[in-house]
Amino acid sequence: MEVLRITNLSKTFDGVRAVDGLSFGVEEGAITALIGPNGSGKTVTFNLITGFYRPTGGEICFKDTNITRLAPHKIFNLGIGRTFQNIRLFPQMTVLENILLGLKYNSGESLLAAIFRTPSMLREEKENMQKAIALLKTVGMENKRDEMAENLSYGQRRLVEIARTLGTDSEFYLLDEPMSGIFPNMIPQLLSIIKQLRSSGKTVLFIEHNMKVVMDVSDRVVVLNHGKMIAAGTPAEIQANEAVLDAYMGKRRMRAS
Amino acid sequence: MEYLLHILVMAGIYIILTLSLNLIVGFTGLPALGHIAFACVGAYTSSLLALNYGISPWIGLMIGAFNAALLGVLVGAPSMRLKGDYLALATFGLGVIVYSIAKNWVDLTRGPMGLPGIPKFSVLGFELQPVWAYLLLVAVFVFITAFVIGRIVDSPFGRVLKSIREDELAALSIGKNVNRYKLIVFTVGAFFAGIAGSLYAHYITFIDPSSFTAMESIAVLLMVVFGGMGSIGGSFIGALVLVIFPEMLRFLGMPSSVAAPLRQMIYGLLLVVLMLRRPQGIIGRYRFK
Repeated sequence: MEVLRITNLSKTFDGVRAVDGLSFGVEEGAITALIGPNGSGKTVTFNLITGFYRPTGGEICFKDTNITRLAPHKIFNLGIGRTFQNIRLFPQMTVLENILLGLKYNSGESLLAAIFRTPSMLREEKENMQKAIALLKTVGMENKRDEMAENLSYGQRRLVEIARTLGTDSEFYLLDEPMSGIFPNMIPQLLSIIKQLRSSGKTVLFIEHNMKVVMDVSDRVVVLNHGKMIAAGTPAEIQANEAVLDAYMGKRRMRAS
Repeated sequence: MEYLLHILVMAGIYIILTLSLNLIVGFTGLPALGHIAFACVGAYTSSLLALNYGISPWIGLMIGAFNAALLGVLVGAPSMRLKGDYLALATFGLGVIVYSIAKNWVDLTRGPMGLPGIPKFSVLGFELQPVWAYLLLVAVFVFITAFVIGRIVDSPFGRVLKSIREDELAALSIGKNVNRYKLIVFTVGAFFAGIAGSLYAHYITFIDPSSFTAMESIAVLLMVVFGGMGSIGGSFIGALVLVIFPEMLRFLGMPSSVAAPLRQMIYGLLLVVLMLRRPQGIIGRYRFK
């Protein structure tokens, strides 16, 4: 079953067609990779799905809801969590606070709960603290919990952002280049996190340039070029696809030898 | 002695203003330059209620604060669409508008002639005539303000406010209804500024529009920045230092034609030095980005 359906989506920036009549679907409970050369519209597509950009045309449906023109926080509340290509943490807040912000609060984030320090708020805060620490452990960052986010290295910041998004307990995760800047020995750990999401029934759509990662982890691959989908299929199918090779390498020439 | 207490009363009123502006500017990161407008609304509301209808300052203070909060909602609304410098300009404009209304709606506010003879607060039938009694009253309100705002910022709610200051888009991406939080913050900030305005009016017993000029808004902003954005203690320090320090210049024995501009210059110099040496304020942690 498709959890997300994009139909004829387009986005123009001052006449430049970043996304141009794009249509594809994302299977529920699967890992889908979104690949394509630089400037092919992958991140723009992410921003369109999550409401950060308004599409010029087309439609995006999440399950049975048309989310095309919803505000980002509403789209999130339907169960779509994301990370950013250029990492968006809260720099002058601690790592722990960054994670806590991603967790669900039922009563705690209201004004009255804050002023009256309601027991339910305090209880929730306590529980979330445990959850946050557990999340930091999964990405190996528990010893940095009181560090300001701005003092972390690039790779560490990416790990914290991933942990924050994991904590949102969304149904559908959009991860924009989750592996970039990550210390190589951390990559298997991240891959297993993504696979765990799948085994717990979540859906993952991720942008990635590392083909080894893409082929290793994804069930399906969607290839963009110039804002259009040029191919979709299993990793094996994509590897053998002429159009994809053309997009990445240019037209194939006869080998020299 | 009387004079010293008077300065402390004024400092207390400014602490309330500074704390409430710090909630908006320092904790939530919304540049607001019209804070005194809320105090103006609070002051005029409770003064007019007392003068025209004989309503007790206690009730007037509450109604004044609610009126100011209402204006806060009005200011909060554009804050949803405007960011950074544009929001600063819009709030500045609002301060000017409120000032102009106070100055030109002569039928209601008596314009530049001001409102004399505003009654003082009374407790159990005793008017708070002595300055020390009024200082106690102001201290109570300072405590309430610091307590409430302190709790607001030190909570999951406050954490969301800081996240908006740090990165609004990231806050949206994890489902925070940023606009709602901004509106609440402006409303709460305006509410307490309204209280400060009312306390001022019933203390001085005379108000006119010249107490609520854009310069006052900027002075309060300076206190926030000076003490430290995003710091409750900083707001105390900022207001205390910047209220008491200029008073000390009075004793240098200069003619007032020299002292007044000199005070402004020293103010300015202090800020330039502070921004160069300690941009996060005296005890603040948060820096401008």
